[in-house]
Amino acid sequence: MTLENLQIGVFLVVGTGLIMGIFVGLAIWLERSFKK
Amino acid sequence: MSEHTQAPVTPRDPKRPYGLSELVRGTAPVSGKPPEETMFVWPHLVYIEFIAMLAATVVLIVLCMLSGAPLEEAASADTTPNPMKAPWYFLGLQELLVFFDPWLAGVVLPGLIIVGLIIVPFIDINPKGIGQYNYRDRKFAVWTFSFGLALWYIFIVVGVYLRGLDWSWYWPWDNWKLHKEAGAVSLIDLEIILSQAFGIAQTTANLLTYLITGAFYAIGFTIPFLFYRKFYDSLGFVRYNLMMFFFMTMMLVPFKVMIRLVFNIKYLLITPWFKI
Repeated sequence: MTLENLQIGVFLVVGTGLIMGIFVGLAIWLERSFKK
Repeated sequence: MSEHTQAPVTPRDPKRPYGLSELVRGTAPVSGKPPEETMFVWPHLVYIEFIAMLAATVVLIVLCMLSGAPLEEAASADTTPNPMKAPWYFLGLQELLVFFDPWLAGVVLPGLIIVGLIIVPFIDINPKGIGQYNYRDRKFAVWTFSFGLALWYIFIVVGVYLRGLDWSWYWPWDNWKLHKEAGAVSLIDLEIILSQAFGIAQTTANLLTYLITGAFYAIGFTIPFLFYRKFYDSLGFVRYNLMMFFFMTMMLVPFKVMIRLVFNIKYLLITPWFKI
């Protein structure tokens, strides 16, 4: 594993996590906003 | 006529221009609310949706007028663009070509995504939270779908912003006009790594890779079955196995990407018919 591969790996993990966080956050926010 | 006069089913609300006029035997979606707290889709919702559609159209037209999207010059056989990039919405699939053979990245994986999405309503039989924005009762569904969608988008981001000459990885601060050193890292198949590490024949190592790939699926299928038996029971045998197959195949994509990046593995599994 080169340093660049490590950087790419970290980028992919953090990036996927961030995008996933946005979607899950949206789901939680929508649930709270439209509570019965 | 007068003998039919009786108290209305729901009291007439002067604020609403409509009321319940008749009861018909049959089934209807259960909203959990009495009729006086509901309203008709037509015209109340459809009007709002129609106005939203008009607004979206106006926004699109204004965007089209402000932002030009001209065609490039006519293609020339002498100068092939480098890198050759698909439209942005296909770049995620093009990026998958780095990690998988073309027929897997271009045919099998997109096919599995489509089939997987089609069977979602047949697998997800959780009745909680239907008809409303719900997270609390549908955590697994929300997280799984979000992960799949995030995977789709991260590959698009990589393809659009981080792939340069020769489809090499370019950070925004790199010089995008210089070719990166080709073949800086040599990729190697897992079976060759195994045969060298344990001093076994390559055919034996090949069998081991079958075992490893099988173990990947087996572990994924077994863990929820052993530790979240309620989850298995709620789905049943067929739905559970279908769901886990698609779930583990989705997880295989980032798994393959990571073992390639970390261990420089080209193929996890080599069969006479396909290579993963």
